[in-house]
Amino acid sequence: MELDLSPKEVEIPAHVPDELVLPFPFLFGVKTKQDPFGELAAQVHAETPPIFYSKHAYPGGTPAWVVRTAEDLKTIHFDTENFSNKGFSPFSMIIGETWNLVPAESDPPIHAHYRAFVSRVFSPGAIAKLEDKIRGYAREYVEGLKDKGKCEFMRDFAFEFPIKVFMELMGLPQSRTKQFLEWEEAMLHSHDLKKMAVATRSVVDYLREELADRRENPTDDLFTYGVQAKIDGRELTDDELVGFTFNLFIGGLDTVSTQMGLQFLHLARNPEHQKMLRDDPSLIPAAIDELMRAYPAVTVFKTVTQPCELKGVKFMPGDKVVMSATLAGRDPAEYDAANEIRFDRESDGHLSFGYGPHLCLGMHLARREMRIAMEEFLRAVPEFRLKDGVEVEHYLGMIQPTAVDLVW
Amino acid sequence: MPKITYEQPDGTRAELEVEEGMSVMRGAVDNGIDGIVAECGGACACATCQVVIGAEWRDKLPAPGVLEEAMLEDVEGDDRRLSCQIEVTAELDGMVVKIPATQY
Repeated sequence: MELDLSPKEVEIPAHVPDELVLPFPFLFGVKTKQDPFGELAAQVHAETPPIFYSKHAYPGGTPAWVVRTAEDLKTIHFDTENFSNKGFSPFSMIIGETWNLVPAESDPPIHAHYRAFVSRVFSPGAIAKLEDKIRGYAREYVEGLKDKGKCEFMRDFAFEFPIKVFMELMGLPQSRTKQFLEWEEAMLHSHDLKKMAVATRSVVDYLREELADRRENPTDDLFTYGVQAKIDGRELTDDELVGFTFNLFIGGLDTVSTQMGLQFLHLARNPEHQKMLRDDPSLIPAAIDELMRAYPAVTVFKTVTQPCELKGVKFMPGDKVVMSATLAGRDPAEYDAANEIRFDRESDGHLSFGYGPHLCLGMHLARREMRIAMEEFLRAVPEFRLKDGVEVEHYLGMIQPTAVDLVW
Repeated sequence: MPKITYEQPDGTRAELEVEEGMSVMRGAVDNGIDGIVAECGGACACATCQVVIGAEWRDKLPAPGVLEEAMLEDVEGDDRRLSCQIEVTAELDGMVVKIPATQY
Protein backbone atom coordinates (compact mmCIF):
# COMPACT_ATOMS: atom_id res chain seq x y z
CA MET A 1 0.00 0.00 0.00
CA GLU A 2 1.61 3.25 -1.14
CA LEU A 3 1.45 5.89 1.57
CA ASP A 4 -0.88 8.48 0.19
CA LEU A 5 1.08 11.70 0.27
CA SER A 6 -0.93 13.30 -2.47
CA PRO A 7 -2.54 16.66 -1.79
CA LYS A 8 -6.03 16.20 -0.36
CA GLU A 9 -9.06 18.37 -0.90
CA VAL A 10 -9.07 20.24 2.35
CA GLU A 11 -11.53 22.53 4.00
CA ILE A 12 -10.08 25.65 5.47
CA PRO A 13 -11.29 26.15 9.06
CA ALA A 14 -13.30 29.29 9.81
CA HIS A 15 -10.58 30.87 12.01
CA VAL A 16 -8.05 30.87 9.13
CA PRO A 17 -8.27 34.02 7.00
CA ASP A 18 -8.25 33.40 3.22
CA GLU A 19 -5.28 35.67 2.64
CA LEU A 20 -3.10 33.51 4.91
CA VAL A 21 -3.70 30.33 2.88
CA LEU A 22 -0.54 30.09 0.82
CA PRO A 23 1.65 27.51 -0.91
CA PHE A 24 4.55 25.84 0.92
CA PRO A 25 7.29 23.98 -0.96
CA PHE A 26 8.56 21.54 1.71
CA LEU A 27 6.07 18.72 1.23
CA PHE A 28 6.82 15.26 2.61
CA GLY A 29 7.52 12.60 0.01
CA VAL A 30 8.52 15.10 -2.68
CA LYS A 31 11.91 15.18 -4.42
CA THR A 32 13.37 18.30 -5.96
CA LYS A 33 16.30 19.36 -8.14
CA GLN A 34 16.03 22.90 -6.84
CA ASP A 35 18.24 24.04 -3.95
CA PRO A 36 16.02 23.58 -0.87
CA PHE A 37 17.98 26.17 1.10
CA GLY A 38 19.24 28.97 -1.13
CA GLU A 39 16.21 28.78 -3.42
CA LEU A 40 13.16 27.30 -1.72
CA ALA A 41 13.65 28.58 1.83
CA ALA A 42 14.73 31.97 0.55
CA GLN A 43 11.59 32.11 -1.58
CA VAL A 44 9.34 31.35 1.40
CA HIS A 45 10.99 34.18 3.34
CA ALA A 46 10.66 36.60 0.44
CA GLU A 47 7.08 35.83 -0.46
CA THR A 48 5.07 34.89 2.62
CA PRO A 49 3.96 36.54 5.87
CA PRO A 50 5.60 35.38 9.14
CA ILE A 51 2.82 32.92 9.91
CA PHE A 52 0.68 31.34 7.20
CA TYR A 53 -1.53 28.34 6.57
CA SER A 54 -0.83 25.79 3.92
CA LYS A 55 -3.19 23.10 2.66
CA HIS A 56 -0.73 20.23 2.40
CA ALA A 57 2.11 21.14 4.75
CA TYR A 58 1.56 18.28 7.24
CA PRO A 59 2.93 14.81 6.38
CA GLY A 60 0.15 12.94 4.60
CA GLY A 61 -0.90 16.01 2.66
CA THR A 62 -3.13 17.68 5.24
CA PRO A 63 -3.12 21.35 6.32
CA ALA A 64 -0.95 23.05 8.90
CA TRP A 65 0.32 26.41 10.01
CA VAL A 66 3.81 27.31 8.90
CA VAL A 67 5.82 29.59 11.17
CA ARG A 68 8.77 30.90 9.19
CA THR A 69 10.71 33.31 11.45
CA ALA A 70 13.30 32.29 14.02
CA GLU A 71 11.74 34.70 16.51
CA ASP A 72 8.25 33.13 16.36
CA LEU A 73 9.64 29.60 16.24
CA LYS A 74 11.52 30.31 19.48
CA THR A 75 8.33 31.59 21.11
CA ILE A 76 6.40 28.45 20.17
CA HIS A 77 9.24 26.10 21.15
CA PHE A 78 8.98 27.58 24.66
CA ASP A 79 5.19 27.66 24.85
CA THR A 80 4.45 24.14 26.03
CA GLU A 81 1.12 25.28 27.44
CA ASN A 82 -0.44 26.01 24.05
CA PHE A 83 1.64 23.81 21.77
CA SER A 84 1.99 20.08 22.46
CA ASN A 85 4.61 17.63 21.23
CA LYS A 86 2.35 14.59 21.69
CA GLY A 87 1.95 12.22 18.78
CA PHE A 88 3.94 14.05 16.14
CA SER A 89 5.47 10.90 14.69
CA PRO A 90 3.41 8.16 12.99
CA PHE A 91 5.32 5.04 14.04
CA SER A 92 3.45 3.91 17.12
CA MET A 93 0.10 4.49 15.40
CA ILE A 94 0.88 2.59 12.19
CA ILE A 95 1.55 -0.60 14.13
CA GLY A 96 -1.50 -0.14 16.34
CA GLU A 97 0.38 0.72 19.54
CA THR A 98 0.00 3.56 22.02
CA TRP A 99 3.48 4.58 23.18
CA ASN A 100 4.89 8.06 22.68
CA LEU A 101 8.52 8.86 22.02
CA VAL A 102 10.31 9.46 25.35
CA PRO A 103 11.04 12.30 25.82
CA ALA A 104 10.35 13.86 22.38
CA GLU A 105 6.57 13.36 22.39
CA SER A 106 5.91 14.27 26.01
CA ASP A 107 4.71 17.50 27.61
CA PRO A 108 5.17 18.97 31.09
CA PRO A 109 5.06 17.96 33.87
CA ILE A 110 6.24 14.41 33.05
CA HIS A 111 8.62 15.77 30.42
CA ALA A 112 11.15 17.08 32.98
CA HIS A 113 11.34 13.66 34.60
CA TYR A 114 11.83 11.90 31.27
CA ARG A 115 14.34 14.49 30.21
CA ALA A 116 16.35 14.16 33.43
CA PHE A 117 16.38 10.39 33.01
CA VAL A 118 17.67 10.56 29.42
CA SER A 119 19.92 13.62 29.87
CA ARG A 120 22.06 11.82 32.37
CA VAL A 121 23.41 9.53 29.66
CA PHE A 122 23.70 12.21 26.97
CA SER A 123 25.31 14.98 29.03
CA PRO A 124 28.51 16.55 27.66
CA GLY A 125 30.57 14.64 30.22
CA ALA A 126 28.99 11.28 29.43
CA ILE A 127 29.39 11.77 25.68
CA ALA A 128 33.02 12.92 25.90
CA LYS A 129 33.90 9.41 27.07
CA LEU A 130 32.88 8.05 23.67
CA GLU A 131 35.46 10.09 21.73
CA ASP A 132 37.87 7.22 20.97
CA LYS A 133 35.16 4.73 20.03
CA ILE A 134 33.54 7.21 17.65
CA ARG A 135 36.88 8.04 16.06
CA GLY A 136 37.61 4.35 15.63
CA TYR A 137 34.37 3.84 13.68
CA ALA A 138 34.95 6.94 11.53
CA ARG A 139 38.44 5.71 10.69
CA GLU A 140 37.15 2.32 9.59
CA TYR A 141 35.01 3.95 6.93
CA VAL A 142 37.53 6.56 5.84
CA GLU A 143 40.36 4.02 5.57
CA GLY A 144 38.11 1.78 3.50
CA LEU A 145 37.30 4.43 0.92
CA LYS A 146 40.26 6.81 0.77
CA ASP A 147 42.15 4.91 -1.97
CA LYS A 148 39.11 4.41 -4.19
CA GLY A 149 39.09 7.92 -5.64
CA LYS A 150 35.34 8.18 -5.25
CA CYS A 151 32.43 7.37 -2.98
CA GLU A 152 28.73 7.81 -2.64
CA PHE A 153 29.05 9.54 0.67
CA MET A 154 25.60 8.66 2.03
CA ARG A 155 25.81 4.95 1.23
CA ASP A 156 29.53 4.51 1.92
CA PHE A 157 29.82 6.48 5.16
CA ALA A 158 27.02 8.71 6.40
CA PHE A 159 24.19 6.20 6.81
CA GLU A 160 26.13 3.49 8.63
CA PHE A 161 28.47 5.50 10.82
CA PRO A 162 25.86 6.79 13.33
CA ILE A 163 24.31 3.31 13.46
CA LYS A 164 27.66 1.92 14.64
CA VAL A 165 27.73 4.44 17.48
CA PHE A 166 24.10 3.64 18.32
CA MET A 167 24.90 -0.10 18.44
CA GLU A 168 27.79 0.68 20.79
CA LEU A 169 25.56 2.68 23.16
CA MET A 170 22.81 0.08 23.08
CA GLY A 171 25.11 -2.89 23.58
CA LEU A 172 24.00 -4.42 20.28
CA PRO A 173 26.28 -6.45 18.00
CA GLN A 174 27.90 -4.45 15.18
CA SER A 175 27.00 -7.34 12.89
CA ARG A 176 23.39 -6.10 12.99
CA THR A 177 24.31 -2.72 11.43
CA LYS A 178 23.05 -3.66 7.94
CA GLN A 179 19.80 -4.93 9.39
CA PHE A 180 19.23 -1.64 11.21
CA LEU A 181 20.03 0.27 8.04
CA GLU A 182 17.40 -1.74 6.14
CA TRP A 183 14.78 -1.03 8.78
CA GLU A 184 15.69 2.63 8.84
CA GLU A 185 15.37 2.88 5.05
CA ALA A 186 12.00 1.19 4.95
CA MET A 187 10.67 3.34 7.80
CA LEU A 188 11.94 6.70 6.65
CA HIS A 189 12.52 6.55 2.91
CA SER A 190 10.15 4.04 1.35
CA HIS A 191 7.01 6.21 1.66
CA ASP A 192 5.20 2.89 1.46
CA LEU A 193 2.90 2.50 4.44
CA LYS A 194 3.03 -1.29 4.44
CA LYS A 195 6.84 -1.39 4.32
CA MET A 196 7.00 1.30 7.01
CA ALA A 197 4.71 -0.70 9.27
CA VAL A 198 6.56 -3.99 8.73
CA ALA A 199 9.92 -2.35 9.50
CA THR A 200 8.56 -0.46 12.52
CA ARG A 201 7.10 -3.72 13.85
CA SER A 202 10.48 -5.44 13.41
CA VAL A 203 12.31 -2.63 15.25
CA VAL A 204 9.83 -2.53 18.12
CA ASP A 205 9.84 -6.32 18.52
CA TYR A 206 13.64 -6.28 18.52
CA LEU A 207 13.77 -3.50 21.11
CA ARG A 208 11.30 -5.40 23.34
CA GLU A 209 13.40 -8.58 23.10
CA GLU A 210 16.54 -6.69 24.09
CA LEU A 211 14.74 -4.95 26.97
CA ALA A 212 13.53 -8.33 28.25
CA ASP A 213 17.04 -9.74 27.91
CA ARG A 214 18.62 -6.91 29.94
CA ARG A 215 16.17 -7.47 32.77
CA GLU A 216 17.71 -10.94 33.06
CA ASN A 217 21.26 -10.04 32.04
CA PRO A 218 22.07 -6.46 32.99
CA THR A 219 25.18 -4.86 31.44
CA ASP A 220 26.27 -1.23 31.11
CA ASP A 221 24.27 -0.30 28.00
CA LEU A 222 21.22 1.94 27.53
CA PHE A 223 18.70 -0.92 27.55
CA THR A 224 19.97 -1.84 31.00
CA TYR A 225 19.92 1.81 32.02
CA GLY A 226 16.27 1.99 30.96
CA VAL A 227 15.05 -1.15 32.73
CA GLN A 228 16.85 -0.18 35.95
CA ALA A 229 15.87 3.51 35.95
CA LYS A 230 13.35 5.08 38.28
CA ILE A 231 11.49 8.23 37.39
CA ASP A 232 9.63 9.98 40.16
CA GLY A 233 10.25 6.94 42.34
CA ARG A 234 8.81 4.29 40.01
CA GLU A 235 10.09 2.03 37.25
CA LEU A 236 9.34 2.82 33.62
CA THR A 237 6.40 1.07 32.00
CA ASP A 238 6.77 -1.12 28.91
CA ASP A 239 5.35 1.68 26.74
CA GLU A 240 7.83 4.18 28.18
CA LEU A 241 10.79 1.86 27.63
CA VAL A 242 9.79 1.23 24.02
CA GLY A 243 9.24 4.98 23.56
CA PHE A 244 12.67 5.73 25.04
CA THR A 245 14.63 3.22 22.97
CA PHE A 246 12.66 3.98 19.82
CA ASN A 247 13.33 7.69 20.36
CA LEU A 248 17.07 6.98 20.41
CA PHE A 249 16.72 4.98 17.19
CA ILE A 250 14.63 7.57 15.36
CA GLY A 251 16.44 10.62 16.71
CA GLY A 252 20.06 9.73 16.33
CA LEU A 253 20.57 7.85 13.10
CA ASP A 254 19.03 9.31 9.96
CA THR A 255 19.27 12.89 11.25
CA VAL A 256 23.03 12.70 11.77
CA SER A 257 23.51 10.96 8.41
CA THR A 258 21.55 13.69 6.68
CA GLN A 259 23.42 16.58 8.27
CA MET A 260 26.72 14.91 7.40
CA GLY A 261 25.58 14.54 3.79
CA LEU A 262 24.59 18.21 3.58
CA GLN A 263 27.90 19.29 5.11
CA PHE A 264 29.97 17.27 2.67
CA LEU A 265 27.86 18.41 -0.26
CA HIS A 266 28.75 21.97 0.72
CA LEU A 267 32.45 21.15 1.05
CA ALA A 268 32.45 19.39 -2.34
CA ARG A 269 31.00 22.51 -3.94
CA ASN A 270 33.29 24.89 -2.06
CA PRO A 271 36.94 23.76 -2.29
CA GLU A 272 38.08 26.98 -0.60
CA HIS A 273 36.16 25.94 2.51
CA GLN A 274 37.74 22.47 2.37
CA LYS A 275 41.13 24.14 2.21
CA MET A 276 40.41 26.36 5.20
CA LEU A 277 39.50 23.33 7.32
CA ARG A 278 42.40 21.21 6.10
CA ASP A 279 44.82 24.06 6.84
CA ASP A 280 43.36 24.59 10.30
CA PRO A 281 41.25 21.69 11.63
CA SER A 282 40.58 23.67 14.81
CA LEU A 283 38.03 25.60 12.73
CA ILE A 284 35.94 22.45 12.23
CA PRO A 285 33.62 22.86 15.27
CA ALA A 286 32.70 26.42 14.27
CA ALA A 287 32.34 25.34 10.64
CA ILE A 288 29.97 22.54 11.63
CA ASP A 289 27.78 24.94 13.58
CA GLU A 290 27.65 27.36 10.66
CA LEU A 291 26.79 24.48 8.32
CA MET A 292 24.14 23.34 10.80
CA ARG A 293 22.77 26.90 10.74
CA ALA A 294 22.73 27.08 6.96
CA TYR A 295 21.64 23.52 6.12
CA PRO A 296 19.19 22.37 8.79
CA ALA A 297 17.37 19.24 7.69
CA VAL A 298 14.78 18.68 10.38
CA THR A 299 11.19 19.77 10.73
CA VAL A 300 9.15 18.94 13.82
CA PHE A 301 5.45 19.41 14.40
CA LYS A 302 3.32 20.70 17.23
CA THR A 303 -0.37 20.41 17.94
CA VAL A 304 -2.30 23.35 19.38
CA THR A 305 -4.00 22.45 22.67
CA GLN A 306 -6.08 25.55 23.42
CA PRO A 307 -7.18 28.70 21.61
CA CYS A 308 -4.27 31.13 21.46
CA GLU A 309 -2.83 33.90 19.37
CA LEU A 310 0.61 34.87 18.08
CA LYS A 311 1.29 38.06 16.12
CA GLY A 312 -2.42 38.50 15.52
CA VAL A 313 -2.87 34.99 14.08
CA LYS A 314 -5.45 32.82 15.84
CA PHE A 315 -4.71 29.16 16.54
CA MET A 316 -7.40 26.67 17.56
CA PRO A 317 -7.08 23.31 19.38
CA GLY A 318 -6.07 20.53 16.99
CA ASP A 319 -4.31 22.85 14.55
CA LYS A 320 -0.99 21.45 13.40
CA VAL A 321 2.11 23.65 13.29
CA VAL A 322 5.13 23.08 11.07
CA MET A 323 8.35 24.00 12.90
CA SER A 324 10.96 24.04 10.16
CA ALA A 325 14.56 24.51 11.25
CA THR A 326 15.34 24.93 7.56
CA LEU A 327 13.34 28.14 7.47
CA ALA A 328 14.80 29.36 10.77
CA GLY A 329 18.36 28.93 9.50
CA ARG A 330 17.75 31.07 6.43
CA ASP A 331 15.64 33.76 8.12
CA PRO A 332 16.95 37.12 6.86
CA ALA A 333 15.58 38.86 9.96
CA GLU A 334 17.73 36.63 12.18
CA TYR A 335 20.92 36.36 10.12
CA ASP A 336 22.86 38.93 8.20
CA ALA A 337 23.28 37.60 4.63
CA ALA A 338 21.48 34.41 5.61
CA ASN A 339 22.35 32.63 2.39
CA GLU A 340 26.09 33.12 2.76
CA ILE A 341 28.15 30.51 4.58
CA ARG A 342 30.77 32.13 6.80
CA PHE A 343 32.71 29.96 9.21
CA ASP A 344 33.64 33.04 11.22
CA ARG A 345 30.06 34.27 11.55
CA GLU A 346 29.53 36.08 14.84
CA SER A 347 26.41 34.11 15.40
CA ASP A 348 23.59 34.11 17.87
CA GLY A 349 23.35 30.37 17.46
CA HIS A 350 20.75 28.47 15.47
CA LEU A 351 17.56 26.46 15.83
CA SER A 352 18.84 23.45 13.96
CA PHE A 353 18.81 21.28 17.09
CA GLY A 354 15.49 22.84 18.06
CA TYR A 355 15.09 25.25 20.96
CA GLY A 356 13.60 25.34 24.44
CA PRO A 357 12.77 22.32 26.59
CA HIS A 358 12.82 19.83 23.69
CA LEU A 359 16.21 20.93 22.35
CA CYS A 360 17.86 17.89 20.80
CA LEU A 361 19.02 15.76 23.67
CA GLY A 362 21.59 14.04 21.50
CA MET A 363 23.21 17.24 20.28
CA HIS A 364 26.45 16.71 22.21
CA LEU A 365 26.76 13.26 20.65
CA ALA A 366 25.70 14.51 17.20
CA ARG A 367 28.25 17.33 17.24
CA ARG A 368 30.98 14.94 18.27
CA GLU A 369 30.05 12.45 15.53
CA MET A 370 29.95 15.16 12.86
CA ARG A 371 33.20 16.74 14.02
CA ILE A 372 35.10 13.47 14.12
CA ALA A 373 33.71 12.40 10.73
CA MET A 374 34.90 15.66 9.18
CA GLU A 375 38.30 15.57 10.90
CA GLU A 376 38.97 12.02 9.78
CA PHE A 377 37.69 12.44 6.22
CA LEU A 378 39.64 15.66 5.58
CA ARG A 379 42.76 14.15 7.09
CA ALA A 380 42.73 11.07 4.85
CA VAL A 381 41.07 12.15 1.61
CA PRO A 382 42.54 14.82 -0.70
CA GLU A 383 40.46 17.65 -2.19
CA PHE A 384 37.17 16.19 -3.38
CA ARG A 385 34.39 17.49 -5.58
CA LEU A 386 31.04 16.39 -6.93
CA LYS A 387 31.21 13.85 -9.75
CA ASP A 388 30.91 15.59 -13.13
CA GLY A 389 27.46 15.71 -14.62
CA VAL A 390 25.66 14.74 -11.43
CA GLU A 391 22.53 16.70 -10.74
CA VAL A 392 21.94 16.81 -6.98
CA GLU A 393 18.45 15.98 -5.79
CA HIS A 394 16.98 16.33 -2.32
CA TYR A 395 14.06 14.69 -0.59
CA LEU A 396 11.90 17.26 1.10
CA GLY A 397 10.22 16.67 4.42
CA MET A 398 13.44 16.00 6.18
CA ILE A 399 15.78 17.58 3.68
CA GLN A 400 18.19 14.88 2.59
CA PRO A 401 20.33 14.61 -0.54
CA THR A 402 19.31 11.47 -2.47
CA ALA A 403 23.01 10.80 -3.15
CA VAL A 404 26.30 12.65 -2.67
CA ASP A 405 28.70 11.38 -5.35
CA LEU A 406 32.21 12.53 -4.50
CA VAL A 407 35.39 12.11 -6.56
CA TRP A 408 39.00 12.95 -5.71
CA MET B 1 19.02 46.28 41.04
CA PRO B 2 21.23 43.45 42.33
CA LYS B 3 24.76 43.42 40.93
CA ILE B 4 26.20 40.21 39.54
CA THR B 5 29.88 39.91 38.60
CA TYR B 6 30.77 37.65 35.67
CA GLU B 7 34.38 36.49 35.71
CA GLN B 8 36.03 35.18 32.55
CA PRO B 9 38.59 32.31 32.67
CA ASP B 10 41.38 34.91 32.22
CA GLY B 11 40.20 36.77 35.30
CA THR B 12 38.52 39.70 33.51
CA ARG B 13 35.44 40.79 35.37
CA ALA B 14 32.23 42.54 34.37
CA GLU B 15 29.87 43.77 37.04
CA LEU B 16 26.31 44.09 35.80
CA GLU B 17 23.02 45.18 37.26
CA VAL B 18 20.54 42.38 36.64
CA GLU B 19 16.85 42.83 37.25
CA GLU B 20 15.33 40.73 40.02
CA GLY B 21 13.45 37.76 38.60
CA MET B 22 15.74 37.47 35.60
CA SER B 23 18.11 34.53 35.34
CA VAL B 24 21.87 34.87 35.73
CA MET B 25 22.08 33.44 32.18
CA ARG B 26 19.76 36.11 30.76
CA GLY B 27 21.80 38.82 32.47
CA ALA B 28 24.90 37.57 30.68
CA VAL B 29 23.38 36.90 27.26
CA ASP B 30 21.47 40.20 27.08
CA ASN B 31 24.62 42.11 27.94
CA GLY B 32 26.93 40.33 25.52
CA ILE B 33 29.01 38.51 28.12
CA ASP B 34 31.17 35.92 26.32
CA GLY B 35 31.23 32.26 27.26
CA ILE B 36 27.58 31.71 28.18
CA VAL B 37 26.05 30.01 25.15
CA ALA B 38 22.58 29.07 26.42
CA GLU B 39 21.73 27.18 23.27
CA CYS B 40 18.25 26.14 24.39
CA GLY B 41 17.31 29.65 25.43
CA GLY B 42 16.92 28.89 29.13
CA ALA B 43 14.98 25.64 29.40
CA CYS B 44 17.56 23.61 31.31
CA ALA B 45 17.98 21.50 28.20
CA CYS B 46 21.49 22.08 26.86
CA ALA B 47 23.94 22.60 29.75
CA THR B 48 25.72 25.38 27.83
CA CYS B 49 25.19 28.15 30.40
CA GLN B 50 27.37 26.60 33.09
CA VAL B 51 28.94 28.79 35.74
CA VAL B 52 31.14 28.07 38.72
CA ILE B 53 29.77 29.35 42.01
CA GLY B 54 32.12 30.05 44.90
CA ALA B 55 31.49 28.34 48.26
CA GLU B 56 30.35 31.58 49.89
CA TRP B 57 27.40 31.88 47.48
CA ARG B 58 26.47 28.26 46.87
CA ASP B 59 24.35 27.91 49.98
CA LYS B 60 22.36 31.02 49.16
CA LEU B 61 21.07 29.40 45.96
CA PRO B 62 18.06 27.11 45.83
CA ALA B 63 19.10 23.48 45.34
CA PRO B 64 19.24 22.30 41.70
CA GLY B 65 16.13 20.58 40.36
CA VAL B 66 16.06 17.02 39.08
CA LEU B 67 16.73 18.15 35.50
CA GLU B 68 19.61 20.49 36.32
CA GLU B 69 21.23 17.82 38.45
CA ALA B 70 21.01 15.36 35.56
CA MET B 71 22.50 17.84 33.10
CA LEU B 72 25.48 18.43 35.37
CA GLU B 73 26.23 14.82 36.10
CA ASP B 74 29.69 13.85 34.85
CA VAL B 75 30.76 17.50 34.76
CA GLU B 76 33.95 18.06 36.71
CA GLY B 77 33.63 19.58 40.16
CA ASP B 78 30.49 20.02 42.24
CA ASP B 79 30.52 23.81 42.12
CA ARG B 80 28.92 24.09 38.68
CA ARG B 81 25.40 25.36 38.19
CA LEU B 82 23.32 26.16 35.15
CA SER B 83 22.91 29.91 35.13
CA CYS B 84 19.49 29.73 33.44
CA GLN B 85 18.21 28.08 36.61
CA ILE B 86 19.47 30.79 38.98
CA GLU B 87 16.94 33.55 39.46
CA VAL B 88 18.45 36.85 40.53
CA THR B 89 17.15 38.06 43.91
CA ALA B 90 18.15 40.88 46.24
CA GLU B 91 19.94 38.29 48.34
CA LEU B 92 22.33 37.54 45.48
CA ASP B 93 23.50 41.17 45.21
CA GLY B 94 27.29 41.05 44.88
CA MET B 95 27.53 37.43 43.73
CA VAL B 96 30.49 36.47 41.56
CA VAL B 97 30.01 33.73 38.96
CA LYS B 98 32.96 32.27 37.07
CA ILE B 99 32.53 31.31 33.44
CA PRO B 100 34.23 28.05 32.48
CA ALA B 101 36.72 27.94 29.58
CA THR B 102 34.30 25.90 27.50
CA GLN B 103 30.64 24.91 27.66
CA TYR B 104 31.12 21.72 25.65
